Amino acid sequence: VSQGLERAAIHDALGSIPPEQRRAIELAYFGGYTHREIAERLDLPLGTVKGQLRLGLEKLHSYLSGRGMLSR
Amino acid sequence: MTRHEQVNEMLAGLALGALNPDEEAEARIHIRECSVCAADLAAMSEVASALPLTVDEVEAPASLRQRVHEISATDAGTKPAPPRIVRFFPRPRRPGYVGLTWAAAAAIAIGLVGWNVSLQRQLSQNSGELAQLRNQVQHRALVSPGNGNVGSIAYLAGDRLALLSLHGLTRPEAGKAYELWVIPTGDQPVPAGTFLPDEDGNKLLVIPHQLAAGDQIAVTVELAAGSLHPTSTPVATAKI
Repeated sequence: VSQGLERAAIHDALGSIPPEQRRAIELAYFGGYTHREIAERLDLPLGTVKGQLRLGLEKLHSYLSGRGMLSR
Repeated sequence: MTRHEQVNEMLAGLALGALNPDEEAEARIHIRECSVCAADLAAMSEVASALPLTVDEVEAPASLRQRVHEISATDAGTKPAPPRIVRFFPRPRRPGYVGLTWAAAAAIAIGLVGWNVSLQRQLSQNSGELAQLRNQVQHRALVSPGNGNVGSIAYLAGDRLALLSLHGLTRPEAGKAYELWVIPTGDQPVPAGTFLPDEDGNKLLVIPHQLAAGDQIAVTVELAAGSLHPTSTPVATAKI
C-alpha cells in the first residue's frame, strides 16, 4: 500500500470517529498534553478523557485493521 | 476498581504518550505481568504509530519556490541549484513531556539561506512579478530585549506562509534548544517547534497556515525536547 493511500485511509479513519474523541487524541498525540491536562483544558472529568482516548483508538484500530493496514 | 482495571483504562494514554512519568511507571509495572494489558497496549500503540500520516505535508507552492529560488540565484550570480525542502513530521512525545503542536502540524523550511535578504533587495526592482510578490509580503522585525533586531518575519498572506529569519543566535548549552511560540491574541502560547541555529547563528524557518494579524511570535531557550509553556525570557519577539 503506498504511503499516499495509507495517508488517505488514516485521514478517513480519523474523520470517522466522533469529534470529541478525535480532539482528545489530537491534543494527546500532537499537542503533547497529558490526559489530566486535556481534562483541565476541556473542563471534562479525567475518566471521560480516558474513555475518549480509548474509544477513539479502538475505533481507529477497527477501521484500519478492517482495511488490512494493521497487523494486530 | 482493580489494579488491572485502573491500568487498562490508562493504556490509550500510554500509547499516545499522555501519561505523566509516575503514571507510566505504574502502568508498565502492571503490564509486565498482564498479558491482556500488554496485548491491548500493543494494538493501541500500532494505531498511534500511524497517526503521523494524518498530518498533511505542507509545501510552499511550486511557483513561490521557483520565484524565491530565482531571486536568490540571481542575487548571488550563480546557477540555481535545486531548492532543498525539509519537512518536519510529528513525533511521539516523550513520556511526561511535550510534543510539538506546530511541528506536528508539519512545517517546511526552504533551504535558501539569505532568501529574505535577497527577496527584500529584489523586491525593490520594478518587476511586475516582484511587485506582485512585494504586495503580498508583510515584514515584521524580531526584537530581542537588550539586543535590538535579531531577525525578521516575512508573512506572505497570499501564499499563507510566514518566514522567520533569525540571526546572531548563540548556540544553546547542551541539552537545550530554541523553541518557537505562536501566541494567538488573548490566548496562551502554543509551542511551535524547537530548533538550533547554524554555525553562523542563523536560522530560517517557514510556518504555514498558522498566523493571523495580531498574533505574537516569541523564541525562548528550552530543553531540547521542547516545553509545554515558555520557561525563560524570550530572546526574540514580534507581532504579526
